[in-house]
Amino acid sequence: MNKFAAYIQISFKQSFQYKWTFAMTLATQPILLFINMALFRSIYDYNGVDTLKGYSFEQMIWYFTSYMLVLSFVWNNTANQIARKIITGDLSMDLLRPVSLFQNLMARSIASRLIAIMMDFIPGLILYSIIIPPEFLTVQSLLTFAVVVIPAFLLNYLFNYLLGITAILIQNNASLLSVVNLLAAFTGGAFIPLEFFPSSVNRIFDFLPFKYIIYWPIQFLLNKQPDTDWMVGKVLLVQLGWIAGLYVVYRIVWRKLLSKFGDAGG
Amino acid sequence: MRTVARLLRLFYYQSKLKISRAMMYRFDFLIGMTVALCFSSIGPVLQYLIFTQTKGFPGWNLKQIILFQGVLLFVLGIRRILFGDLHYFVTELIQKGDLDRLLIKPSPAIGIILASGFNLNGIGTLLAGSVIMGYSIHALDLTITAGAIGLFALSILFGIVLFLALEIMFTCAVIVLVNIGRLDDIVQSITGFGEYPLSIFTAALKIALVTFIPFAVWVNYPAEALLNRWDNGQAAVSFLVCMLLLGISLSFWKLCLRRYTSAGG
Repeated sequence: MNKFAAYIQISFKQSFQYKWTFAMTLATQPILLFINMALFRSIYDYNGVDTLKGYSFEQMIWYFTSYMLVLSFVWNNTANQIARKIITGDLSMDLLRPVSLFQNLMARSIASRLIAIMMDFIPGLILYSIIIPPEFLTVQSLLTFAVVVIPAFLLNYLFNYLLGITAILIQNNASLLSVVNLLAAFTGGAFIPLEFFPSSVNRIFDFLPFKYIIYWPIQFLLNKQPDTDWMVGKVLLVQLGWIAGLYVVYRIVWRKLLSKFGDAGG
Repeated sequence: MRTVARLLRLFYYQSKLKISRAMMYRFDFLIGMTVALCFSSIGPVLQYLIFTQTKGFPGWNLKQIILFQGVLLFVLGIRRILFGDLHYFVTELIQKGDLDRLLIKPSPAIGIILASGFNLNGIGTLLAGSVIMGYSIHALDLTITAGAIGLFALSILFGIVLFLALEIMFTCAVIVLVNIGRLDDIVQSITGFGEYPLSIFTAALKIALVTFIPFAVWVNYPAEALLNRWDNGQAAVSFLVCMLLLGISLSFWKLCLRRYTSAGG
């Protein structure tokens, strides 16, 4: 555990050198926020409604902004990092380290998320709240969000790790990563609230892990769950189920794929 | 005029070279094209979902908004084909100090830069946009006259002029900042204003999108031309501002070149 903590500390110091890159969302998100405000103001007014699919105007605008806030916690570049290590042969060196690649990259991801929370989430929450005050937000909804977003990070990390090691089989998996990431964002509710999809499509999305990474943390942040305790328990249970399942897959697949890995470097 | 013809020829040769290279890696090209198509289709799918789940927004019905989305895909396809590789090319050029090499060539450096943006992956988006436009025109039972086609083409042309102005400004920013971080994302976010019908914006923003930042020229005007809702006065103002912005961006370019210190070593 000490080694793991040391890895987080070192990665934190390294990533902190580029801290302003983490804050770039603060420049782009307000622009998107204004576009969404114009778009949805027009839709709400034209439809003559106060709520749309259960979302008030503020909640709808914040839905799209919350996606960026969720990313501050869950985003990681693990799939690309592993793929690059496999293609370049750098994986061989990583296999010799005292900490496994799984833990090594997790330490990096945790460090980068800690910086993102400092540089992106907290200032973002303040800035967006000034532009459109989130009247729905309570201390409880923020705490509930924190409770579900941590397993969401683990789940996303595991998924990305498994995606990254496909490079052992297919070498250049860049296009595959793009397609899968796009599908994950789409089915997770990153682009539009899932309530806009037909219920049959939503039933399919229920069987995928992505809504537990994006959609549900947003729901709790928006304070949209009336029966919160029960829902938090249910979401946590499904998240933990997915984490356990993907971890078992990782343990099995990693050993098998590693036996196929060959480094041509010298 | 001769310089422009020479640059167009250069663009043609660069494109030919890139197509030959893409054909060497056909599978990667197909996947890249599919990815580009998927990414650019998100907007239309979302608008479709909004329209099927609500009454939509003022001034547009579902069929018309699908036409709008077809035009959007068509324009995004053209943009990707003409300028898709440009940001990467410019960043590499400045960071490696290779701009010095371009400055001693007989053609203007900015012309050579702008002629290097060809990206074949935009072809999928362009085709998808064309098919959706064709379908929508049929579904709306629109009569497309030669005049409408002319106005459509004119809007696309001035849209390219506006893109050129933005790309020159982007290049200037890279020269000044060298390490641009995610400036790309900021540009993309700002241009997002041009990807929605003007009717959703407030009166002040509508005026801005027609005059000072005439993003309406990209999708709104070509769509209005096909729907026979063309406004001559409005379009003339926007076209004029597009030309003006191109002139301003070229002045910026000259100013930036004076400040340029090679970053290569």
